[in-house]
Amino acid sequence: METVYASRENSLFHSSIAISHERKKESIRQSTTLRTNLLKPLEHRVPHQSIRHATSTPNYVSLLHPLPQLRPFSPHITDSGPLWKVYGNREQIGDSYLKHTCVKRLADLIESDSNTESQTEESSSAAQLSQDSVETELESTYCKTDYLVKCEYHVVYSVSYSVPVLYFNISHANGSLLTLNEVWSMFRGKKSLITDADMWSTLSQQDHPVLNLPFFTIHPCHTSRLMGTLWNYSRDPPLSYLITWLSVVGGRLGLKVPNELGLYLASPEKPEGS
Amino acid sequence: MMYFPLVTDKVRKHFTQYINPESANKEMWIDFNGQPIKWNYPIGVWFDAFCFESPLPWTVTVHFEDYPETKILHCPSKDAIKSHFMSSIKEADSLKHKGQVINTMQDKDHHQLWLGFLNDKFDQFWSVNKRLMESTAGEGFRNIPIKCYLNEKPFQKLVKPIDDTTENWTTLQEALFEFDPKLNFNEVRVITHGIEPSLKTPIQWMSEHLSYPDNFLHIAVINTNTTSHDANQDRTA
Repeated sequence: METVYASRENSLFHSSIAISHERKKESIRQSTTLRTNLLKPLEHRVPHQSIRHATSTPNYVSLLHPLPQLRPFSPHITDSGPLWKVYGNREQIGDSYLKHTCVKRLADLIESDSNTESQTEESSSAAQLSQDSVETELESTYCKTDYLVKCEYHVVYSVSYSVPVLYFNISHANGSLLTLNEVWSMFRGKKSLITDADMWSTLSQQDHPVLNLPFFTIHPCHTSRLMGTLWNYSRDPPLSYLITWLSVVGGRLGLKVPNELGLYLASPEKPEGS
Repeated sequence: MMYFPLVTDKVRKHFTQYINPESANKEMWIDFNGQPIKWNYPIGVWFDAFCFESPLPWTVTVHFEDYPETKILHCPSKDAIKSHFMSSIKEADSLKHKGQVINTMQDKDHHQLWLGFLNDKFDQFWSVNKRLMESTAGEGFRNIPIKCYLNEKPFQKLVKPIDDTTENWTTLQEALFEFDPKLNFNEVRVITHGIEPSLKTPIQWMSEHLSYPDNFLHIAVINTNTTSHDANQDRTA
C-alpha cells in the first residue's frame, strides 16, 4: 500500500491506492512515481469567474437544432423532408447527432477539375506518384461510369472543443468503405501540396462519439480559429455559423451547400414551396 | 506501449508461418469472445472495461481475414497510431487549457511526446508532458479529460475539478455521477489501470497522476452481481 496525504488546516484529506504487484504494467510506471506536488488546499483559491465571456461559437442548442428545419433547397433532392435529421437524445449534448445521407456518383466526388487534368497526365515528381496511382485506379475503375456510392454525413457537437465536428462514411454498394487513401485523394485533389503528414492531422478515422463505430472525420482543433475569421458572434445568426462551417469542411467531401440556402439566410422570408 | 498494433509485430511474424500465404499481408485483427478489439483503446482499458474478471494471461484470438471495418478502425501504419495518439493529447489539452499549452509547443515537442511514448522513454516523454499537467495552484484544470466506460460503452462528459456545490475538489464519486446520476456504488466496481482507487480521490489529482499517456483518465465501471462485505468497506460516500 502506498498512501498520499494532502493536509488542510482543519481536516485530513487522503487518497490511498493499492497497487497489485502482480499487475506491473509499463503504462502505470509514471503514475507510480508519485509526485510530492500535492493538491494545495483550497482556502486561497480565487473563485472561477463565471465563464460566460463572449463565446466565439454559439452554444449547442442554437447551433445544431435549427439545421433540421431547413427544407431541401436543391432541385435534385426529391425528398420533401428535411435535409438533415436529428438522431439520439436531443436533450443530451453528447448523445445526439445530425445525419444526412445521399447517393452520389463517385466521379462527382473526385473533383472535376482534376478529372480534366488526368486525361493529359504527366507523372511529375516522385512524391506525386503514390497520389497519382491511387487516383488513376479509382478513376479508371469507377469514374468513367455512373458508379454510385452511398454517402453518410453526421454532425456531432464536441464538448471538448465547443464546435461542431463532421463525421462521414462513403461506401460502395457491397458495404465496403472507401479507403483512407481514396478519401484523402478526394479531399486534397490531384496535384496537391498538402503532405501526408498534414493529412494525418486533418482527416482520419475515429470512432463516432455517439454510435461508437468507425467514421472518417475532420479534426476539430482548427475549426474555432477558422470560424473566427468567417463568423461573428454578435453580428451573425447561429444558423449561418453552421452553414458557413458546413460549406467549408464539407465542400471537399461532396457535401455541397446549395446556393439557395445562402439566399435564404440573406432574406428573412422563406422561399416559396418550402 | 499502449496500443495493440505497437506490440503485435512478433505475433504477426509467428502466425504468418501457419496461414494461407495469400492472407499473410492482410490487415491483422484481434477478438475476445467474438468481439473485435478496438486497437485505438489502450490495451489495459479494453481489458478493464470488457473482461476484467477474466483469468490472466488474457487469451485473445488473432485473425487475418474479413477485417470488420464497420466495427473497428483500420490501422494502415504507425502514422495512424500517432495521429490518434496526438489527437487525444490535443483534445485533452483543449479541455484542460483551451489548447493553449499544446498549441504553443513546437512540432519538435509534439514529436518528442510521440517518440518518448513509442520507445518507452519515461524522461523524454515527461519532459514535455509535465507542461500539459500544469495548472494554477488551487484551481486545477479547466475541465478534466476523462472517459468513462459504462456497460462496455465509452462516454465523455464535461467534469470540473472543483465541485460547484461543495466548493471542494471534485471526488471520483462526484465525477462519476456526471456520467450516471443514478449510479449505485454498491453494485459496481470502479477500475482504472487495473486498480480500484478510493471513491474519495480528487479527480484533479487523478488527472495529474493516473492519466494514460494520451492525457485522458480511462475509468471502467463494471457491474457486479454480488458484492462481498469487504469490498463495501471503503465505498460508501
